[in-house]
Amino acid sequence: MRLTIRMILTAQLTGIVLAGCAGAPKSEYTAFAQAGAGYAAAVDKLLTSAGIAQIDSTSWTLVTEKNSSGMDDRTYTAKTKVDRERLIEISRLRVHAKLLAKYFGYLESLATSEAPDKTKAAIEGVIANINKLGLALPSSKAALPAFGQLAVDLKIRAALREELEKRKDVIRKELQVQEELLQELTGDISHALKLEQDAKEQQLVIIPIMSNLPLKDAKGWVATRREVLYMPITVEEVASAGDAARKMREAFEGLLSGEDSIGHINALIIDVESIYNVIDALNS
Amino acid sequence: MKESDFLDSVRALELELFSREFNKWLGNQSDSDKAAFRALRTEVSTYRSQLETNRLRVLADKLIELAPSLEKGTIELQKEIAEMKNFLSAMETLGKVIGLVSRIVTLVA
Repeated sequence: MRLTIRMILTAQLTGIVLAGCAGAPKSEYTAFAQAGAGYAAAVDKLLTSAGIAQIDSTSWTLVTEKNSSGMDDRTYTAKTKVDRERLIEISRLRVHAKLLAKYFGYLESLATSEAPDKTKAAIEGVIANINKLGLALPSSKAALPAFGQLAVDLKIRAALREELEKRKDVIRKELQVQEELLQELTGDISHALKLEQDAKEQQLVIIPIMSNLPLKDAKGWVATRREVLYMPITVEEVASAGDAARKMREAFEGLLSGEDSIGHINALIIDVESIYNVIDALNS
Repeated sequence: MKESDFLDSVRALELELFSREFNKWLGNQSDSDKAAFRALRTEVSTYRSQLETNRLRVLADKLIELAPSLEKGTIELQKEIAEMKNFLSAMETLGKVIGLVSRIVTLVA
């Protein structure tokens, strides 16, 4: 009986250990899955902000148009039509960003599904009850809960690796297109902000200060001027946020090749934070 | 010329047409000239926006093509998570069963 239990445990655990040993440590898969989920959620929010930036910049050009050359129905209708078309594409992209967030969310759930205390308690329960039955286990039984925990850890790692290997071509393609998407959004948002900034400067800063009439609210004008002149900083932050997809791809390639990818993942986390900074700045 | 370079040129033209200098000049023109330049600006803005939207549409199409594989991945991951939970609950059940057997053995002995 003693031999049978040892044989069963040893065979099961050896199989799991061998399957899980290849590739990056589980902590890297967990970090990658978490960063991926964060990235997808940030892209979803950035897409919303890109739509808002487009609409706002159009609105500001309409204000400039009205004040400089007047307004007509044809101009308003044409500009509103292209804004609506943009929102349709942004909505399609957001649906996909949500799917990507869901995929990484499940990847993260699998990576963190072992609940260490629960595993340890379950294995300890089995050992304690075997002892009560008087079925002697090897003297090294004290190490079994920890070893069992390691085995679960490796089993999860093997499952994560298998999943990423199975879908590596799709994920590679996804991240490549994401990189292009972030570059496009960076260009679109930067241009929208530049148009908005120029229009705001003309309408809210230059016209009131150049007018022969006294300023109605000098303090308000100062605050508005500061807000308008600070906008280029946001434009630079947009460009830095655009690197996130590239770092995500590098982290993924690192995971697959088994090289240390924590550096890439940490850099990615910083870029994801940059995306959130841009979103905050655009929403403020 | 690459499409992205062309888009940058259209953007630069649009910024020029909405610049302060251009608006100052436009303010001194006749109503008919103002209307003509307004139509031109609208054309440029509309064209730029359509170009940007088309580029986003191409990327959205590429991403949507990948969606079925990602959907499949989420389903398989859900199965893996369930399997992992089953493994842990099997360990718990095993502990309980052995515990019960040990009590019965003690009572019989």
